[in-house]
Amino acid sequence: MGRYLLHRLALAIPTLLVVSIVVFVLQKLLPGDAATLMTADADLSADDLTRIRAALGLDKSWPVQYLVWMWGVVQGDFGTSLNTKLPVLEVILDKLPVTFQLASMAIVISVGIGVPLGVIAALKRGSAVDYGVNAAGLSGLSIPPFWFGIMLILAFSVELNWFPASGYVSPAEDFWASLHTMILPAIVLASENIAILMRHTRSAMLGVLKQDYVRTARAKGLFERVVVVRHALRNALIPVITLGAIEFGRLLGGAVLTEQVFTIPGFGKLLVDGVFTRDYPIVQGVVLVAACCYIALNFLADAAYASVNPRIRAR
Amino acid sequence: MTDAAIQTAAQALPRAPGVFARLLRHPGAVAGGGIALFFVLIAIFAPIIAPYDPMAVDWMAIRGGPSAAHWFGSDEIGRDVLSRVIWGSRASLLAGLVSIGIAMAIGVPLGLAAGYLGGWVDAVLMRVVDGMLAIPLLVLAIAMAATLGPSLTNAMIAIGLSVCPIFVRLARAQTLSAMAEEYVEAARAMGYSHLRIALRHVLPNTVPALLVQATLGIATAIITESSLSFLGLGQQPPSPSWGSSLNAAKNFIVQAPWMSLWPGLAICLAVFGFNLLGDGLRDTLDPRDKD
Repeated sequence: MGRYLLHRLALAIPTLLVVSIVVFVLQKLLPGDAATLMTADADLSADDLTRIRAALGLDKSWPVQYLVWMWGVVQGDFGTSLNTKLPVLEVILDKLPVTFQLASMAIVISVGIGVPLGVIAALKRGSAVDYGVNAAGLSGLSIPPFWFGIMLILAFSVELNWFPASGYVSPAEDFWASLHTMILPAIVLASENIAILMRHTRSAMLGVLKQDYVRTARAKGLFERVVVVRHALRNALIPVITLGAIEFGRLLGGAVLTEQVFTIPGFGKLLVDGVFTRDYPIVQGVVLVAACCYIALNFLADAAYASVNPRIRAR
Repeated sequence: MTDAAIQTAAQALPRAPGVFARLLRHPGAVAGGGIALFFVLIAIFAPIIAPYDPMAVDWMAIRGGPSAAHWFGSDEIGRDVLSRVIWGSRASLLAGLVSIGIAMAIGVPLGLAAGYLGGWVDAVLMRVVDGMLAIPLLVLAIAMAATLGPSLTNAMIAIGLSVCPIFVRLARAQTLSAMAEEYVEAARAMGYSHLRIALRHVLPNTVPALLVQATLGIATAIITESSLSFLGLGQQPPSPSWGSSLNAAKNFIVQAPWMSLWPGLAICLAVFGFNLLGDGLRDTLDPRDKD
């Protein structure tokens, strides 16, 4: 298993390298460079700009600039925000827990709803229940999350006044108020994931139910409930849980729209605000951190999968 | 036998039902295809169907509720919501088709090359694909659209480039499975050129899976375009688009909920249609996914 994980880890390095190159190239394709962006308000002569460029290292070639930038990133220096002049990493780490809480709540909701629905659909295969669950799943994939959020606000905040329409309360401050404000956004963020987990659970269950050991369990005369839960579900859940971990990484990035609709001061809103205030170091930092989270969670999922799968564990 | 006799004999043979016939017997595919066709027709005939000019401002009908004159109500400057939803289908469908077209035009040749050539070309391309897929689709699309500048064209380019790695990976996988087939080996034995084998023998084999992915991809692209437009990075106002209509509508949820309702329902239905069609195509074209 050690060798398998080392191999996985080695694959993550070129992946991160590609991400960093994509981020760097995006920055270089921008109209104007850091010097013109930083001094947009000041009235400077061409000479001053040249000096600022030299001071920032912008007069060097692209590969050299990339290496200098990467060297900083590796040491945790993601640059400074053009607007607040704060270090980018500090700003991101400040916002990340908010999105982390949102994504955690969303993953609990999506596993809690998606997995049971997928199991039921698989057990009642071909029935009206199966078709209903499938149609609901496809709808979940088809609803734009921002619109779903607007509709939930309309129903549960404006009409019924059950939940607040926007804002954020830190769980450290007031735990229940925090859950209460986050529940609608978490449902919105979970909507697509419920469908994804449901579809995967269904097909994993269908695959497992065909296996010999399930037939053996039935032949032994075990109760159907025991067969389904202890023999089938436990095996079917392995790939689903792996997927859940990967999805969690995706949720951190996917929170952009949800946070925008519910005005939650998280990681995703930081990206959108960064785009509109032309604060490109922030945009780069968010993209880089989102990709790192995804890669890290992918690796953890691989490790979890390997530790429960004896065929890989033996390697 | 004469030619005529051969022809009659051929006609008498029971033909295996074609892909299209099988597709017509799949209820999901028919429903999905119907919905997709419905939106395509609306987009094409928007100037004839729409009751009003989508840009026409009517100061007497500001945020008017649904009525006989304005079935879907009117927006914050009195424009007809129904007409804007009808015209908005153009931006969404165009974005769906063009961005997937871009993704395939770049992704399929690269995937074919990676699978056919193997070696370092394959290794390098796959690492690039891994890297791009590590960035969440919407985050990458937002970053690219922000770099290129907000417009529908740039949103389509951003979505196309962001979705592209999926097609590289799929085309590569399909190429590898085709290369193991005996007819490819036969073509090699015949001494055909690599280009001819790749284009005439391998590429056709990748078409069914790519067609399924392209259909599902259009659904993803429509949602992503509306998301970018919602954020203000896609179609710019006052041009009608479902996403940018929702961006304006979210400020009037309480006063004019119909402004949010209809464009959103249009997105849901269009995306649902393409997803349904894609699932149906997969069932019909791709026997591996069947249980």
